Amino acid sequence: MNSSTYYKARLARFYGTPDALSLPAVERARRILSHLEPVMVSSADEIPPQHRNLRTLFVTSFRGAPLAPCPGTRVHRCCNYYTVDLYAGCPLGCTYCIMQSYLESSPVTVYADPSPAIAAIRAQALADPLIPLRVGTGETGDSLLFDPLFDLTRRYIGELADLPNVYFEAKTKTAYVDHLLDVPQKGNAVIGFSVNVQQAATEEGASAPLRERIAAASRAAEAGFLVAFHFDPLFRMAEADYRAVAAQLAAAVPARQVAWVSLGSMRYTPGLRAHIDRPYIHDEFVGCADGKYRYIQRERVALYRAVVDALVEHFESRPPIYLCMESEAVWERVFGALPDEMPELEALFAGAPPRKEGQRCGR
Amino acid sequence: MRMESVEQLRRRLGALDLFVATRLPHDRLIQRGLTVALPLAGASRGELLWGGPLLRRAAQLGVKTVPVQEVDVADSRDALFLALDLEARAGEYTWDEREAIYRFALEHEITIDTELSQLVTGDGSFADAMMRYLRLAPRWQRAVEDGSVDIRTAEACGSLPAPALAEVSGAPVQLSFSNRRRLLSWLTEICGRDGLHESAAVELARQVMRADDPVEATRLLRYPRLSAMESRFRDLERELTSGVPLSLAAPQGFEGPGFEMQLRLRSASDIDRAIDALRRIQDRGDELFDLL
Repeated sequence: MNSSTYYKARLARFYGTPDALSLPAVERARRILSHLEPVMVSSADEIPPQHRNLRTLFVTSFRGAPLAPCPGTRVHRCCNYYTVDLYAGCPLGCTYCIMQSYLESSPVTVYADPSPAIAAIRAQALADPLIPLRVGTGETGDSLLFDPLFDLTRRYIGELADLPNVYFEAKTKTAYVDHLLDVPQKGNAVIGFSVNVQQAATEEGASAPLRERIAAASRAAEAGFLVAFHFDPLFRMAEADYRAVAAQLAAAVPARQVAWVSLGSMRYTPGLRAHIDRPYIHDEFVGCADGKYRYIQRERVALYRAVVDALVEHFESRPPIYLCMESEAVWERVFGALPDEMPELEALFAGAPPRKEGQRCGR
Repeated sequence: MRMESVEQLRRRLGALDLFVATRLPHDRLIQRGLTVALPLAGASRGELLWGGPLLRRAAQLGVKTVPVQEVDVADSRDALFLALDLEARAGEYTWDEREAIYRFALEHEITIDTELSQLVTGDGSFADAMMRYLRLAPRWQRAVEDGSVDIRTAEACGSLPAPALAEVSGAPVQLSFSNRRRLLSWLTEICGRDGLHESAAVELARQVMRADDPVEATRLLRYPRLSAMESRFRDLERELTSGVPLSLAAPQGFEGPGFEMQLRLRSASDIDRAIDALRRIQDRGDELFDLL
């Protein structure tokens, strides 16, 4: 499904704050969403309760902290990633998505003025120009699902391209990259794709099929973008098939253009558990130190090793591979080392600014 | 305030006769007319706004009259609040009573706001809890009502066939509330995982409830690989530390960086035996660390 068809089928209402409705990004979206008449509200609280769902679009100028450390997870290793809110709420409908437990009765919110976030990223990057700063928009929603409507990622990429230490990542489960391919100055912009085995397609709702995501990754790389892959969540039942996915990725994107690959296994909070009624939830999960439930440690170590081995085997040179939200014990069993002892991960893990006490990440 | 015939008052009980577990005064007080005046809506048809259980008890005791007082109520919400104020059992209403209050509110278009919720549940959860309760199948509503499970367990176990639930509820072994919740959750998950139909689910429930420890028996079936690892660890620990003043502990769920070891040394010979045990552990370290 192309993006226009998707929006027309999926979006039923359009709300916005007065300060946002005149922003260029919103005017662009209004032209495309000509079937929807925007309703002005002073805040999301004014949207009628029956309209607070993922078929409603709510645009607002930026509010809140423009740049924040990734929430990560307490106790487990942090990957020094920063997030900005761009699109909050995602209607793709992945059965394992943590957002089911807290964003289900909210509209898709678009923070349509990226200026404060761009300024915050620039300030942090310029304050420590030798320290790589990884920052992404995929924390509270898909970075690119609504981006053809608003074209906001283009501004981030363009206005951060002159900063050699900034790796700005747009993370997606769609194949909506074509509107970005002609961005003239890409800098270190990264288009990140969540990938999974084909058997998991039923768990990923309206996400693009794997082959489309890989084709999009290939187009992005050809256009000069760095590309990232996120195997998250890995499902234990499909261990052998991840090898084939690794081979497909390696065939589609040259290793030199792979910024990083992250691996995370299926996990859930007790709150999310109540929302999941799928066969994979009947596997054996154990409680971890951060309160989440994961596969038995030795089983997920085996799973990670299998994927790492496949990636190393298929890519012509080893891309930076890291674990998302995992303990030091698992790092040591998978890699035989912690991230700050692995030269290929030094830029990702060791160089980031120190976290101040009270910040959210658990490192 | 005046005295009014019990029989006539019973005919004036209306839609606000919602309560079944009212805290009644002692029978001697009812017999002597020493009860709170029952509120009669003066402005409408003289409907009795509260006191059904008291009237019924008075009738059983052969009491002819009880004190009443006419009151003005602005609307249905005002009347409901008056009834709830007199009942004064926030947080203690049965689920049947809560359902009756909820339905009264819906039928009379009364907003279930925080103020009303506080009077019923003592917190803000009334509307949400009622919607969850009403979504349950009747058998699970009964289980919640009789207190054998909480609403969250009932929701999680909704797919467990009724006869399987009956096997657990009717078994002679007494389970604590939390153990019943764990057992039912695991049974439901096993049924989902293995695609068990009703007869197989009932047989499974029967089988675990016959075990010496039904909760552990269910856990073994729900977590066979983890249970096998625990069994393997126990065997290894026994083989490696038997007769030695040394204990070995695995992290919970085998989730963690390593094992913990504790030595208790009371003599030089204990040290020798501990060293021997450590050598055995060293020789079989791969078997041990394979569990993590």
